[in-house]
Amino acid sequence: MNDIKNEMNNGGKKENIDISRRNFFKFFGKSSVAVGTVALIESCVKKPEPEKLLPYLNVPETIIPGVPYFYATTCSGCPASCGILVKTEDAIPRKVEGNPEHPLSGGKTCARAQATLHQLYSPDRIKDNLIRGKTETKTISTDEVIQIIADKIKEADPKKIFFITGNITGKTEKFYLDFASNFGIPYENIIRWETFSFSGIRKASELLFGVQSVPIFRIDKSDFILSLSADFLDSGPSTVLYTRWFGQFISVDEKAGRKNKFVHVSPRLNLTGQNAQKWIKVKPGGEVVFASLLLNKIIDEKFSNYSYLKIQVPAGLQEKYNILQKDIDFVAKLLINSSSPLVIPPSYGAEDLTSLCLVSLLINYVLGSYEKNISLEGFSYSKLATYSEISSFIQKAKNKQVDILFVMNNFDLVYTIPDSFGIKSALSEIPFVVSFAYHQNETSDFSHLVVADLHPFERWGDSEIVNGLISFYQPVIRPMYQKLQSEDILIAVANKLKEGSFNYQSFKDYMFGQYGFSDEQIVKYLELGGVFNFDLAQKPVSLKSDVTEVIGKLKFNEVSDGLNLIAYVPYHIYDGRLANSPWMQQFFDVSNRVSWTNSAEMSKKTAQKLGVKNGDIIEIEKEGKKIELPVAVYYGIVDDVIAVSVGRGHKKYGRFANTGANVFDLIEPRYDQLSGDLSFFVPNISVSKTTKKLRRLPTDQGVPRTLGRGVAFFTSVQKLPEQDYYKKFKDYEKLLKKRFPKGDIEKYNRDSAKPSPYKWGLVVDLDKCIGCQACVIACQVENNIPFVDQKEVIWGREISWVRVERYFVSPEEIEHKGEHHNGHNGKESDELYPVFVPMMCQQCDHAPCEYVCPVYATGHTSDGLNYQAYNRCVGTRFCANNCPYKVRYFNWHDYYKNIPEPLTMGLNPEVTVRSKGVMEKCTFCIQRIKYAEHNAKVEKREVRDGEITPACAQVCPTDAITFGNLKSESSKVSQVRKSKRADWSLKELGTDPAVTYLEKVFDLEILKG
Amino acid sequence: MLSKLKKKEMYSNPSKLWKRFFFFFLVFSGIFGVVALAQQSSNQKVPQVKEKEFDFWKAVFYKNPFPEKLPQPIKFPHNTHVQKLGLDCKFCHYYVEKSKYAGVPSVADCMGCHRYVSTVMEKPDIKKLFQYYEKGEPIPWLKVHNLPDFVRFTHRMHINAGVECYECHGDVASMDTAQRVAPLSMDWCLNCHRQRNASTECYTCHY
Repeated sequence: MNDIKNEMNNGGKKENIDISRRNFFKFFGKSSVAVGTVALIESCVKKPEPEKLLPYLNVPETIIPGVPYFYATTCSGCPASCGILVKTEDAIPRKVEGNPEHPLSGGKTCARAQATLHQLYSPDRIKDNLIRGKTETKTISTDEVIQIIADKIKEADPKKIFFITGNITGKTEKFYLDFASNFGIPYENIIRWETFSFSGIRKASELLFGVQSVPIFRIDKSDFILSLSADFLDSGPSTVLYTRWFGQFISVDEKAGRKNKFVHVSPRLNLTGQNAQKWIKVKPGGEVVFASLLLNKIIDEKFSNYSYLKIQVPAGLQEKYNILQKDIDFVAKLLINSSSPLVIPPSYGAEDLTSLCLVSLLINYVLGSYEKNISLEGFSYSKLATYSEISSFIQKAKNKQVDILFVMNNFDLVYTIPDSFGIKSALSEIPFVVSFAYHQNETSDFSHLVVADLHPFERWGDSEIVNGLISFYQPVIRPMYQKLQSEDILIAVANKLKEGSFNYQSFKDYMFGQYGFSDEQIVKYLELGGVFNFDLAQKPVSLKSDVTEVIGKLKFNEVSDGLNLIAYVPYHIYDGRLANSPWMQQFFDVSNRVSWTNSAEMSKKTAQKLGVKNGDIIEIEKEGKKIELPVAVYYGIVDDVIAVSVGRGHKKYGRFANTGANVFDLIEPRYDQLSGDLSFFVPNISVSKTTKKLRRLPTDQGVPRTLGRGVAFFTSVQKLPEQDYYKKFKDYEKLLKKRFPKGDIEKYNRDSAKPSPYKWGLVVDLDKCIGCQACVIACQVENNIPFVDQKEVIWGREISWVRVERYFVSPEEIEHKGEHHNGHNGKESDELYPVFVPMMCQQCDHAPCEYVCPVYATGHTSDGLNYQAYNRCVGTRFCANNCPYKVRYFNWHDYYKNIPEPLTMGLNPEVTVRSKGVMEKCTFCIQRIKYAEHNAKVEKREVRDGEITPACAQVCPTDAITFGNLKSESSKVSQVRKSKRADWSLKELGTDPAVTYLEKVFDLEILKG
Repeated sequence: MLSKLKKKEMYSNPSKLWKRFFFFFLVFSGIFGVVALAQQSSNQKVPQVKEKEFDFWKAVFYKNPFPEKLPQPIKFPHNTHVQKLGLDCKFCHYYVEKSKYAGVPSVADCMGCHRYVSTVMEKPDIKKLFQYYEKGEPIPWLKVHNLPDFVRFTHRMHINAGVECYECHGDVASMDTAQRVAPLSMDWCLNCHRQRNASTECYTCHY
């Protein structure tokens, strides 16, 4: 050691030992090999058990292991009943896709549908039938269940037997009615219950036209939409259908330079509102005043023959609600000048929901929209119970008029009905409650018998959501726990009590028997997904004679001056049924972008007034009931209002569901007077700051402004004619030439692999992107992306290969295309509009990440992809640091270990599950590319255009994402790319991305109007 | 000892730090150099097929932690079926052209023939097969060829490219119980890929 000391001190034998960096790494490498060998020896000492290789007992003829099969069934993520295809590999469902044949889904899904798979594999499913005795709970067999139910029904008075089911339609409805009539149970005792029953618009249609209906708004046929707090993109009657139509509606016609117009009048920007070209702010409850004044205005302007429909608005209300006459005139002008306008009301929640729906439908009627783009017949939600009907049922239960209650379809009554209704005490009054549930929930605690039901992916069923549009449920997996579905149990019960009450042994036979299908027809329709004989015809409607009386009775609420609370339905969790999916919990709320909790969403001014910041935890109180939530400051909400999403704060819905707070706790039983729907508006709440706070809000939002960076792309209809496709591409080529004068050789300095006929590319049309993040969740399911908990999200360690970035831009920025006003130096604008940018790996041709990897774990492929070899990655994270797009994600822990059994069954066997210390990123779904390439190679041809669709493009309901081969001129992606709106993210860096963005198009006329 | 040296000087002059590292690694590589060399040379040899108990050192240096013959639940003689009866590989492994898996024949497939072959009915292994079938249990075979989870290997593409079964699996026709003859290492895969001018890009197998 002394020698070394001397060497160090006086330079020693410096000349003799020449240690270059290269030599150092040589030795380093050798010694690493040595260390590796030791590790190998150690691993060999513990001899690993050889894996088992289990063959089939009998080979199913139709299945080849390792080849994916698709089965058509129906989604259960919300009552909309979209047709889906479930991809199963080795008889295990792996992914949900839209059914292209189905008229509602058209091959697309929303984010919720993707997460239904997590319901199926939920670790908190009910596995055994439970009977609750006085002292103990024990498991019983299905035969005993049938015996017990039969005995109870025999003893009970049929008039006191009640069913609570979902929105049953088609032959499922007939089944329940048959069951009831067999035992003399009155039909009224079958209560169809969904948390959101669309009762406002149903009642409004009844008052105006005498028909209870949820009309279908033909968004695709319209050229102007006025949304009055509408939510058709969030959670409307059919999210996917409306989103698909909206994509057609909103996309710009480049040649004609024309874009349809969309104005949103609301206190809050939900997903629908964020896609509007203009947001007119009103205080909560002001929409109906706005609508009435608008109706009066258009009658005055053009439709004087309808002057009897004018609505008396109390004097001074307009000023109190701060509604500007300018805005009304502007919207009235747009409505009158457009050829097929549409006014869409919300489906739930507002204080005077029915009045709002009524006035909106009246405007539509006056404008003649019923003949052009509204189908009055609409969706079959018309038999759903309202909250006031549920309330009267609870009263009956308390008065001991209910002997047996069957809760079907996994409904969580105790959770979805606000506590103030007294549902808990009512259920404990009922002598016998049977809950058919596939998942743990709070209702199970109040049930005497819990029957382990089948998940919709394991059962038979049907749904007729539009008259004549029948979708079938069929099992896509063998039942995981119990074997019989609820209807089969009811058939067995009925046949036990009364011989021959059903001529069928199973519900499947009953259903197809009722339809009268032959065996060939059954196969044909199951392959198709259903029977689609329906008609969305627009028929002229006539008003009822007593409409003027109804209008005369309309009441307007006074402005509530205090702090108010709005409960809204989140896009991803809906009424809370998807809350136990950890991927849905990690999903960033579409408006305030907070994950793993709901939040008290408020404007900047309100936050300043309350003296709170992002992440502070506040206590919201209303009449003694309190909830605690973190503050999320959001641009899209008016002052003095706090918005909180429903569907959180479960107590018994599984290990992941207990996040945030249940806002139903604060909601009082106040009904909309006309329809009996519950008001989701809580006036005059009190808020106090607590000492607790989050380290950081669990959000993926960074700086929400573009700050002059080339990250969000937008233009205006007015600017569009000046833009030139050829000039844009030439400028871009020049830029690349300047950056890399010698061309390709400078890109990698590598021996180029074999030339490939393909160069994969992606085009994202920002004009069509609505920011719903369905692509994010589809990517997570397809690519085995792990979820991380809230703590990790706060650290910013969430993994999502594609994320939807949101940048707010002001009208001034739009006017100057972001060049002069970067929104930072200039005056902050009052009006901001979001641009959504789905950001995935750009697969750069000159990728900055590739230069820096010391172990060649990432590199470029011959077909233009930027691959990542997970087994080669050592986790230096140099690549992520050098990536200007920040699309590389690091596994800080073994996140896959968080995935509990049997949730792991949903993992895609085609994609490696990454472990700790590995960098991962988007690869344009390389497994799908490879699958198609293999098929093409075997068939000795090239890959056809459209044969490969990455998960994000496949799910996108507005078709914003196009994927294909850029080397082929005729491919769809090359055609779409030849647009004058084309642009590249951070192009001045010269990375030459394979992803092209098409600018979002705003309308300056509307923005300034 | 070293730490008390002029730390400031040391860190200001990185070349000296370098030297410290060098000595450290010299010691390291000295100790394990021999092992590393042995590792390299062992890769050249083709492991011999011999019936022997589990050999620790051989397992280390051939990267084959398993004994050559796994204790299969039924001693299935490949040689009888192929050489004596003349069955083709694809007769039993029938998914090999269609799927990534070659497929192991189902118990019912075995029974399909064996219920009619009266000559071997009384053999203990055939009795076992009957027992499995009657119990309705799959035969718990042990995996002889096992690739790590981060490798995407498809039988289908290799068969369609004209690779013969024996090139990877060895002369199974003359084996009684199947055993591994190839190391299934990446080096071994790549050698063949290079010879046949197949793709050697990382993402061909790793994604």
